[in-house]
Amino acid sequence: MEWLQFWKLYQQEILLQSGHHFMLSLWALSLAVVAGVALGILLAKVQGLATPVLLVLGMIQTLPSLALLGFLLPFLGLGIVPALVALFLYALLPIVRNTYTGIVGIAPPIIEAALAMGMPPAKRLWQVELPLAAPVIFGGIRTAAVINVGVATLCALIAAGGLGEFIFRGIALNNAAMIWSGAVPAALMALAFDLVLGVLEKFARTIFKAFLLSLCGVAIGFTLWKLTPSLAAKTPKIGMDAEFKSRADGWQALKKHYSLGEFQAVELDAGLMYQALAQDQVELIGGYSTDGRIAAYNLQVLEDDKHFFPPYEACPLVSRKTLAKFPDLNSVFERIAGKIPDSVMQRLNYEVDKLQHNPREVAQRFLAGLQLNTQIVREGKPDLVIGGKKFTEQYILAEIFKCLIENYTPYTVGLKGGLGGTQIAFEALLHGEIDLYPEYIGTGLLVLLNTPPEVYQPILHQRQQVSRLVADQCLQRFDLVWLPALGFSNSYAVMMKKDRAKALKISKISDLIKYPKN
Amino acid sequence: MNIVFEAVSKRLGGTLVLHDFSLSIASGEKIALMGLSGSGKTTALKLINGLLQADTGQITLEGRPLASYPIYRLRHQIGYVIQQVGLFPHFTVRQNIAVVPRLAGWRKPQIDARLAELLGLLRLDEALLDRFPHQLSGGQAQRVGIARALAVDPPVLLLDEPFAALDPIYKAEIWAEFLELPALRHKTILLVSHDATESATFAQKIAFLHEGKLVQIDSPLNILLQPKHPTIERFFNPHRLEVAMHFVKLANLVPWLLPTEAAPSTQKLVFGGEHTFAQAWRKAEESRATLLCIEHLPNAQPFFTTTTQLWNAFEAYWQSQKVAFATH
Repeated sequence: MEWLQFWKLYQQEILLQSGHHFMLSLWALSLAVVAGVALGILLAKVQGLATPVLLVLGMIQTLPSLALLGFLLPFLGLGIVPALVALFLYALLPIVRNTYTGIVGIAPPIIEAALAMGMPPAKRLWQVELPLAAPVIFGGIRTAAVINVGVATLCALIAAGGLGEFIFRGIALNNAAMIWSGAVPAALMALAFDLVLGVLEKFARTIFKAFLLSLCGVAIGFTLWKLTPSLAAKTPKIGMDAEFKSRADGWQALKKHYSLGEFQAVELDAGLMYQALAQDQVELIGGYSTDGRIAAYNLQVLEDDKHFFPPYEACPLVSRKTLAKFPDLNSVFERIAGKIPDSVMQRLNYEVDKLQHNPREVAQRFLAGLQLNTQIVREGKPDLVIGGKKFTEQYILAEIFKCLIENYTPYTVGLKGGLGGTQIAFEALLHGEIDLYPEYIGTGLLVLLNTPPEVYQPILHQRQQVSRLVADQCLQRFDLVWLPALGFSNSYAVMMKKDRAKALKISKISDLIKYPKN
Repeated sequence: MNIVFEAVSKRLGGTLVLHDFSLSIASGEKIALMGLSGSGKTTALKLINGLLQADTGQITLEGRPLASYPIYRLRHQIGYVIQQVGLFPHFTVRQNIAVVPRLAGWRKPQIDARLAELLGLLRLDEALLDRFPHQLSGGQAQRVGIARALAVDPPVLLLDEPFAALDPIYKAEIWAEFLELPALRHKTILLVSHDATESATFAQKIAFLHEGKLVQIDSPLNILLQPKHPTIERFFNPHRLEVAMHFVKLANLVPWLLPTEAAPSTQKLVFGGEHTFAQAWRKAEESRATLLCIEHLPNAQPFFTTTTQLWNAFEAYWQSQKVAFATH
């Protein structure tokens, strides 16, 4: 019932994105059919070409979709073009392979008869080979269509839109209804493609020519229509991940809070957006303030001068039971309380992300810099387990905690990093699978405690009060204790390229009001 | 259209399938290419319509080298029938037969007229025209294949075991019909066949190939009676009686077999000389054989002027077996 309500509410957007998704899939499919059939014919005609070409296409097929999108980014930027290229590449293999096997698999006497009757090559291809290979080729097109509809969901990560927007926003917000409202139409669309092409497949031999020609038309039509540069003034683009785009304390609220003018919000994968900004695919991004790539790409974090973002100070989060069992933990964490300011955390992230240093070495080097002991590293059965979410910063923090505890207490620490999200880490802590992990106050407020807006709105920007509220509530409801803050705050942050910020004289978010239109 | 092979060699996948092969086929001549599997018969056919190209040597048509003809147009002039037929499965019978006329640029009325003609010639029902190949019986498909090859009335016909896939009884029937086609009379025809009877009844000459070489070219009877290669002898041996019977038929003699009560099989039959029927029958009974009787019809002629001549020829060759023979 919850989903039905959700769908009703978002009906318009779901329809719009479905249409967009359909267009993207069909467009890429038609391009792939035109090119794939041509390439398949070539492979069937030129001896020795098939094996290497099919191998290369097979390799492209095995590339993870997100890796392919990331790879295309520097060349093609963001939006529809790289999405099309990626979908096109994925659709190519089944079509080329089936065209090739379809033609090569025609019974030799038929080809011999065609030759012996003096049929010239072009006629042989159109009148005999393609019609006879058509059912096999159609099978390939069907496979490609289903793949395309599926992969097209990922295109939401590079600002190409489509049903993936719902899916990724839903995942980010842990909102099942939102995930379904992307996944169900996508699945139905894949089924519909399969069904329609399946019916057409039965008449493959007769309709093949008409089908090919109309797909040619679709390919050309879409390409002319969509890629003709529009003359309208472009609004500046701000890239952000699905979570920031849709959260209550995300972009919409920020825009309102600062009364910003028109910006085009572009959904991007969190891992890709720094690169996208550095390569001028977008002008601004909503990123994370301690990310190592801020330094790496020479980005400027704009000051949150009107205190929009809640505090996201990082603290070790531990259950009270664990703390009772290992009372020395309190004193141990006092040693690094407040010792990791934003700039330091950025540097540590940078060392791991960009310089490819081992998180353990980075952690040890950092602690040694604070004149702390780092010699002891224990292996074996752990007395307590430290968890961490699946991003660089959490890996580093977990290593810092381990090193610290092992050097200043007799306990052996086990690590369980890479937990796939806030909810998962939190559940693990509640069920005692881990004893401790680094968490952020703001996340505690909004995600763990799910505090209603009327409670947090009035105090959102007052750090002390928020911290106290979160600490009290967590202890009360979950028997969890927030240990002293580490110093940095990994909050959302609006950022842009440093040289551009300088040129436009922008240093605060409120300066964005005067952001020029291109 | 005459066809001449001049010292043609052809290598396929590393093996020499034709070796220094020379053969001259006069316009309107019917020649059967025979030989064991892999002896190069089919290769020789495919060299004529350019499905394969000679490595060395050359092939001339009407005195002009094959290479000097525009290949696609030339192929319209050379009908080609293969064992697997090779009808286009997505074309109706009508479309299949009309392929070459269309390629040759015929207009629709002309094609329709020719279709009607071919249907009559090959005794195909008009209802078949709109069927697809998978809806035809093997014999019908093969007739359609022949109709397709004859569509533009080409002067040359290449037949590669055209009826090998049909069952023997049906094969004999369709073969007899085929032989009677008046349209074939003036065509130059090459037949590739494993079937001694088929070749002997059809061709004026049999060219026997062995391991890519032409080992003998001669009239069927000479091939049968004076083989110049042990393989030829081995090849024809099991079929001698069969072939002989055909000659008998051609000579307008009526043969019939009378097994004696004790005869174990028809293979070990017959014994010879010119006798009355009663004498012959007694002899057959004594040696527990089957009696082959040949009735001489009044208008008998082509191969043998007398039945004695026929049986002398057989006896000369067929020494191990005795030939029984009687006339009424």
